[in-house]
Amino acid sequence: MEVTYIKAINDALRLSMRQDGDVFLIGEDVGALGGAFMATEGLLDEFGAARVIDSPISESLIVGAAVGAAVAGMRPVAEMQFADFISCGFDQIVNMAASLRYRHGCKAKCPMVLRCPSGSGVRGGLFHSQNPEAWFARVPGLKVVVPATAFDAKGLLMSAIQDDDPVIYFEHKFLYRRVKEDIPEASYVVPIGKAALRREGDDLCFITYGSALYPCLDAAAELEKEGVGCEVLDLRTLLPLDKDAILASAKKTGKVLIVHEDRLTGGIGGEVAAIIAQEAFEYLDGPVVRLAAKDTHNAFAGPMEEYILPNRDKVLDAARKLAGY
Amino acid sequence: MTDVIMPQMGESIAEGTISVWLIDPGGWVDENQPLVTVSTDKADVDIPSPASGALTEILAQEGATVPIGKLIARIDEKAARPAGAKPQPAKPAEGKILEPKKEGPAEPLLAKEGVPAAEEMKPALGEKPILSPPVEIVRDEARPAGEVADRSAMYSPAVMRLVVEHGIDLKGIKGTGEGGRVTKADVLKAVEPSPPSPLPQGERGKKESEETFGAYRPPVYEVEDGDTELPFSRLRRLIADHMVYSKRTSAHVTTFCEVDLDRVVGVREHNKAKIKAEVGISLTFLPFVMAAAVKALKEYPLMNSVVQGDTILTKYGINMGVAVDSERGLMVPVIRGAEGMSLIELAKAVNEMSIKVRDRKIAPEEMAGGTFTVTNPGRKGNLFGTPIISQPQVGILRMGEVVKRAVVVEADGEDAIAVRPMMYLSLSYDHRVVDGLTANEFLHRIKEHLEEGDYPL
Repeated sequence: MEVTYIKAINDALRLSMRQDGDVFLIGEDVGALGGAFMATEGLLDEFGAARVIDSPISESLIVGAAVGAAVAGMRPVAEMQFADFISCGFDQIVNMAASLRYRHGCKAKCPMVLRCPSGSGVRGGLFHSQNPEAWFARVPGLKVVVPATAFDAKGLLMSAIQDDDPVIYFEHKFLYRRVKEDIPEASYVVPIGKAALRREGDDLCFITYGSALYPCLDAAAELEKEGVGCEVLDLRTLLPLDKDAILASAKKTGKVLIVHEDRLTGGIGGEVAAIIAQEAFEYLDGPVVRLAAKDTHNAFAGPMEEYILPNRDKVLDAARKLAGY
Repeated sequence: MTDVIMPQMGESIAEGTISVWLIDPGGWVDENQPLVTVSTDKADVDIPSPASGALTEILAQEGATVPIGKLIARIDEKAARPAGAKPQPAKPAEGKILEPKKEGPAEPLLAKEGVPAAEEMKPALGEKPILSPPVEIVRDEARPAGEVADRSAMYSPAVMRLVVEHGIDLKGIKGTGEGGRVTKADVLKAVEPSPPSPLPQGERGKKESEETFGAYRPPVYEVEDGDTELPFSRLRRLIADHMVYSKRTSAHVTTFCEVDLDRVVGVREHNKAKIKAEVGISLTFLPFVMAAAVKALKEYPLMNSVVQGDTILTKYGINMGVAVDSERGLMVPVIRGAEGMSLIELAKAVNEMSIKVRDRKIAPEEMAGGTFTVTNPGRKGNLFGTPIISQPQVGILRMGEVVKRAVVVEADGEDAIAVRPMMYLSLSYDHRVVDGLTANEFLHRIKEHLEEGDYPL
């Protein structure tokens, strides 16, 4: 059945809640309203207010309550209404959830999922456009996933809910209703930590994730017409990174263009570039190039947002230059 | 004419459905008067008219789903206003809005009278500059911008690695990269043997088959008197390709176990006549094995998976394929929802499917979507075998012949020899997905379920 990315999220929540009575939802407006983006639509009706909890506007409370419930044996799925506000729950995530296993010699665990609607390109301005994934992708004890397709949105969320560690699940607002796909109705999981090769080619590889996958696929198709074979690797998980897949594509093509919508400085692209420089040095036939959002806060005005974010034309420019090197 | 486009109604919205036009075609609408109701999966929104005029063209009918930014109607501002229509407030000229006012908060700060623009802000004589002085930009090479540096003697790590691997000299290679750089592709081209000249027409087919199968070519047999030749039927070709594909795709491992069917035989003998009378079917061993497999699949859900690209899709529902021999070849009808079926229901479903296969009434969709397969290749002369997995599943269970054998059993704490109906079960599993421990435990559970003989009818 063809479903949107956001419906795939809704399906994953519903199926997980049906299968496991320990799974419950908490967040601002997740209940009566069905979520600011309708990701939790219909779940209050099916599962009741004890399992779909409307919380006060306090991210630290939401994460804190989820951590407590997870320690006590539940499987909470907490929602940050916008990923931008996750910073209010930062301490609960990095100091509490992520370190629990370590503090208790593996005798405690924190099976919690944080769903975070993230991403730009939606004229959302400074407070509704952020991509905060890199803040968390360096915290041991966490897992960070970033689905780009409806299939992965469902499979990674089901995986995240079944995982015994805290998983931060970044869902991209721009993709919510723009991505439609035929996916299985039944439960399935996509393994955490495995990248997906979306396209194969010999001359150049794009390493990307989230919404940036689509301009990369467009650019790859365009370059193919110009005789440049392009590989497109969708990371899907940022912590842990699929180093094997990254190195395989880098070694095969010798030219790597890393593209993400998060800012350049301190973005996950830097880590990917460093892995390649260190472990595939002798295979490189050109500089490892990064293309990302400019190092500034996102703008509200359309033309300014276009200027700040990577897009198909910018990807194509950078790729042509690298292919010609 | 003013164009009416499908507006952006929320951050994540990509399209909207025209719910109802609030103005009749040709009717008058004032600017900002609700023109059309658009529904999205988030909300219903009344869209205000962007201009005053007659709604001359409706380009998206009610019920149509239209992407954001697409034209949905046109309004003619020059049309005559019908009598009785409300007078509209005067629309300010466009230039007027943008024109900065002399005073007020909207005025751009730097354009304020008496305050110099940023580039004119210079420190007064004797004052320290507020901003740090501009850093002089130094080019990496002394050449005009836009000119490409000579890179013909610059070699990348990948190129140097190929030099070591192939022991070649780079001097003779012309670089096609930026600034004449020798690229990895240039080196690979140089070390690649030149392509062979095209083969004469007659040799071509022969050459291709060598390339396809490597060095081996199957020997050709002459057709002699008394031989029969039968080209592959479509079904035979499908079976053949599926089997070869499966062997090449899955890492097949087959594991065996021996099952004592004493209790199953008891249940069967006890109920056979009754079931024949009530349901009209002969109860065979197959449904017993299927029921045991269903129980074990619930305990080991990984065995109820299919491989989709690089993803393992573990199915919640159990759709059990049952291999049925037919005069046309092997068919595998699928019994859907096996997880919720009793022994009798399984027996009935198998019976129904067999009749459909025999009568050639089976539909392709009744053979699709299997998640696990059981095969029973016949009663006689069939100790055990190593079945091939039906793709993209990860397991297939094969029943062997039921034979009376002398086995050691424990009775009252003492070992004794007894005659028991024994059967070998073989399980082929895909080692890409399932490891030995899981597969063996799974098979052992099937054995245990069969030996417990617990079948509520």
